Amino acid sequence: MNLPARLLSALTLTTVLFTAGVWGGRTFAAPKTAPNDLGLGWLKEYYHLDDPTFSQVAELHRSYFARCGTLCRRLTETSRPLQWPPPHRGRDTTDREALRLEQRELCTECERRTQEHLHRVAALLPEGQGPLFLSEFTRILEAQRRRLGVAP
Amino acid sequence: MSKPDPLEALLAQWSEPSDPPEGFRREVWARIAQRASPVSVWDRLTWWILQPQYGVWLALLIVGMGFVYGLLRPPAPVLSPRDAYVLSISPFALERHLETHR
Repeated sequence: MNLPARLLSALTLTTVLFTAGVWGGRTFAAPKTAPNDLGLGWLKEYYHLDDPTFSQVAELHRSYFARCGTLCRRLTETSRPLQWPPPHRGRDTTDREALRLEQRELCTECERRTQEHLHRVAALLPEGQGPLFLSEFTRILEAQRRRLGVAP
Repeated sequence: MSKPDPLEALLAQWSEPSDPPEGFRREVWARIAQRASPVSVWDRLTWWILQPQYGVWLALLIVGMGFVYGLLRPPAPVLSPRDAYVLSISPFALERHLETHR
């Protein structure tokens, strides 16, 4: 192999090895906190929660996430058959009507539980912070609802 | 009769050269070394590094340097902590919401 070819090979190999190292380093350094824990960490810091209050808040969230997960999965299962077009053009079968009804009920249930959860969290926050928390997150959820075009 | 070639007299005088004087080779190499440019530190280092037996160590060094560089520049978080909280409680972001339960 002549000199330019050797130099080019060495340069290519160096670049590949360095890139592999950078990828490894970035993967290793990437934050590994789960989104739920990241969010709870923010709540603790932003509302200056002491440890006993935070453990109560965290417990409340854990049960909310568990219940929410079950409802979300049911909602996904209900929505799946509705993604396909109806077998008879322009007409919904009785089954599909029933699924739509179940979907609406699940959505209502989800929202009701979210509101309930926000009220419970607000009640645990330090004095004066509860109403602020409640109004901020109600406003955020309302904005999301409007963006999605979901009827109240 | 042809005229004698003047080169023949010269050739008759020629004899096989004797061995070079003592120290001839040494002197020649000393002169070559004197005229050659001095080897720089960089050249010495390059020569040392590029020896085949150091190839694995060199590869590890390059990977290690890349790793440290990557550690010093971690990827930016996809979500801010506040957005992560909103996402975790919002029922209006179903797909993303489901991801937070996995």
